[in-house]
Amino acid sequence: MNATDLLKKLHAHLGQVVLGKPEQTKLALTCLAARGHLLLEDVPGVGKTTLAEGLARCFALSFARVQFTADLLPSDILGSQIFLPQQGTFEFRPGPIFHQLVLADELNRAPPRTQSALLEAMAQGQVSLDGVTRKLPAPFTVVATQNPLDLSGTYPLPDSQLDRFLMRLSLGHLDPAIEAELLVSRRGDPLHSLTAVATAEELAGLQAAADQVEVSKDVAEYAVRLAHETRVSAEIERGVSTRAVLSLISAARAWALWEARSFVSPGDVRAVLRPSLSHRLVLKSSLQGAFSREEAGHLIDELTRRVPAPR
Amino acid sequence: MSARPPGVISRDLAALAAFGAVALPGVLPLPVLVLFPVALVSSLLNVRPLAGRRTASVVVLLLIAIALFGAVALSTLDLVIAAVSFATLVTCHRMLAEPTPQASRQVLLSGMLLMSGGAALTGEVGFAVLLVAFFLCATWSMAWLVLSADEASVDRAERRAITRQLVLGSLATLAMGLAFFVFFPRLSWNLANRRAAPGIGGVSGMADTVRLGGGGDIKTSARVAFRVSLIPDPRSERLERYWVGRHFDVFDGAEWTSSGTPAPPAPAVSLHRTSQRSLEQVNQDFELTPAYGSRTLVALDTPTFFARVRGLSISGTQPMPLVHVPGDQIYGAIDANALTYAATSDPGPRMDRTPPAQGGLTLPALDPRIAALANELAAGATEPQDIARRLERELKRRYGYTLELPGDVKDPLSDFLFNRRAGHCEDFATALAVLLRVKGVPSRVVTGFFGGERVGARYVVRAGDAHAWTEAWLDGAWARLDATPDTGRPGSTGPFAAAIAAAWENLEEWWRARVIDYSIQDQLSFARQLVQPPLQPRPSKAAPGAPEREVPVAPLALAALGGLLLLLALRRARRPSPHPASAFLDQLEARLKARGVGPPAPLEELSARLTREGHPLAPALARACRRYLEARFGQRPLDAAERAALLAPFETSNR
Repeated sequence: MNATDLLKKLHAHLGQVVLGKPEQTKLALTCLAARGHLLLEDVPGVGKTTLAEGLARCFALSFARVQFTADLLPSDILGSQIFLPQQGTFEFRPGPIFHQLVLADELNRAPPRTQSALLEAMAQGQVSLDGVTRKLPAPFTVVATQNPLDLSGTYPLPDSQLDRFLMRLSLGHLDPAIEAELLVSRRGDPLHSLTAVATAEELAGLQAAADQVEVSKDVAEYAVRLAHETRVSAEIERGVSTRAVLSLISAARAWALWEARSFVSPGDVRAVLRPSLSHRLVLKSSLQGAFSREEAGHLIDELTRRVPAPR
Repeated sequence: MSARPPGVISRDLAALAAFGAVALPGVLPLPVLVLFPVALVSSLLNVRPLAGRRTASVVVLLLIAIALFGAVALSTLDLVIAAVSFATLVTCHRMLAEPTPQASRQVLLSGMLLMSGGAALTGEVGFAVLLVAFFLCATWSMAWLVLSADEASVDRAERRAITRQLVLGSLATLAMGLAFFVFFPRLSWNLANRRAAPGIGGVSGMADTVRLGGGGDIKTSARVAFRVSLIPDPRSERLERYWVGRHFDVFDGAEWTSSGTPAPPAPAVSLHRTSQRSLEQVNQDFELTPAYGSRTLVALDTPTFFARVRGLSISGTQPMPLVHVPGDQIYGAIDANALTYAATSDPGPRMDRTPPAQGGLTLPALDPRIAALANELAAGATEPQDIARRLERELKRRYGYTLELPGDVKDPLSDFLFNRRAGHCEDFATALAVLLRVKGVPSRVVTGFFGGERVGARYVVRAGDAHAWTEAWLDGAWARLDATPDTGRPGSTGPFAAAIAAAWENLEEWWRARVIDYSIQDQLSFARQLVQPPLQPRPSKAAPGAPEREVPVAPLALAALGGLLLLLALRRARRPSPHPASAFLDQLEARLKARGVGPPAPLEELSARLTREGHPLAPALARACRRYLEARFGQRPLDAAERAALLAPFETSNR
């Protein structure tokens, strides 16, 4: 099965549990294919966790879910040395991070110390603990959900942490018609009945296919122009980094797979621009939370219109 | 025989223009003159005998080079001519080799050498025309070379884009060349000043003898034999005057020759020194062109003084002494292709009082009917004056003018007088001279030119204006008689040909004044005009009180235009050239707009939206969009046929 067909099959499969959000599920799958970590941010109860779990269950991946709380410690995620009195030695007990797909639920409820514990794991695919570096399984993906920052009891994610997520998606409320249909049809948790339709190898194949997608010089320059525009914009305090442009291009590569193309078009860049850049912008306005998210999205739409695409 | 790559024809045409520039002066050796047309035709027919025979042909070429430059070393051949001949051979050789881009580039390069050789040989306006032709063809060919090196298929839309850029580029280059020409200081290396090559085409009717009968043709060529400026300037468009060249006094029944003996060469010659010099004296500055074909100096009737002769030849310009043959002619002592000199003439009557030589009355054995005819024509006249006038009038009245020659006849004079009763100026001049001698009046035949037409500030006289007339010794002075009927006077060409010739003459005069003779002084005065107005403003009809300073509008406008073109060219050069697929996108978007599919959005987004909306054009647009993206960003070029097929569903007529 080629990459496009696999993606479409996964999309249809995921659509059974995440109703009425085809764009978001498409982007979420794109993020996975681009080896990226995904951040889902929205108010509670709109299906963030359903999407995250659904993603995990679509693939036959080893999966762990960590519920982040205010008292969660780094060792609760990474693992710890345990003293074995019988042998008189220490043994490493791996934490939930040592899975192929880690769902970090309500990430911003944990204190920054614990959030940062994820950092090396997400960036390098490895964990250093007590002077020993341990490889994480491949493919390794973190899907995190978080509540908007204006809600009480949250710690904002540090910028460096946010930068490590390839995309930030928000689901938003359902369309009334679909919501009504949901109320009629849903009995029990549909996630329990969701079976895996792809293996870990197939995900790796998908990621390899995305790596093969070519980026022409014109498209690369277009991405750079877009990034440059965030850096010079009057309303943006801090524009995006080079790592952000790299992420943008890798997301666009994966997006091209949907159209079975072996190259990136400017439209691919535009399609992934908002989810891959909006969470990396630091705005000048003091807006917080959902307002800030909307504002960043609008700014990015605005600069898409302003920067001419290669013809 | 392989297929001909594009650009080869324009390359060959460029080579033709370059060859024309060196062939125009007419100094190339005959084998070279013949070889090039053969090579050109062969190349145009795509027959390339030298393809694959590199070594042998190069050896032959080298041998020819040794022969040519050996001839230069032995000074039997001018260096420029040898170099130009060799460059022509190289051009031929490369044209007949495989038509690779490299060979084409070499042809263009040797063409450029030929053009510079042409500049060294001639600076005439014909060269300018060929230079422009070479420039255009070579630019075109170069553009094709660059394109075919790309090996991308070039279809019509791209060709249009390329053509536009080419035209703009050429214009910018021309403008820059012009600006360079106007503003770059001219150094007097005199390369373009060699107006000395004989050129192609007929030469004038000046010859050592005047011979009646026989074959050949009468020169009716419109080529300029000489240019002359007159002081005082008569200011008329046409100058109906006689220009004297030679006098002939010995007739043997068919041919006129001269009995004079040459004097030793002198830098100046003064004639007919009389105490009563008239006030109508005319000073003339002559330039005898190569088409004149003789070294005999001419001047308005009656010449009194010749000086400041300079000969122009391939090797340069040099002062030249004069040889005077009393009663016959004055000629330059050194061989040269062209001459410049100053002359003075006095148009007053009875200027030439040199008594007739011994042969002034001698006649060969003549047809007895001629004496009878002389008596008949001059019946009733006794005074020499009367006899001369009567004979002149009667010949003019009774005989017709024709340019047809009799061919070989035994007695051409009798043939003219009694058989054909029509002839050209030499027949009339001879007949009148002979009839005068029969009646005891000394006479001689004069050859020269009649006419002159104004071109610019000067007068030109053409090869076809050559004329012959008669002089009679009357009352101790020579008097001019012309028995040729007025219709037979030279200078009556067709109006259309005359118009073309006039236009060419004007162009040539302009070229000389503005290009060849454009000196550093002209540049300085032009630059001065740009920064400050002339010191003495031209009398203008402006009301008093109008500003005195005159702004040189035309030069400023020209400079502004040139600057603008340069700026545009620079901006274009800096802008990256559009991708070939972009033209397709333009066409597609234009059609979508025509179909009212909007609002304008990036193509991919528009295609996605139409698909969502189930628009009838959505599948076609999705196909077109995908192919555009592949061609633009995915290295899968579109060819013209596919492009047309993709665009077809969007034509407004297909509803």
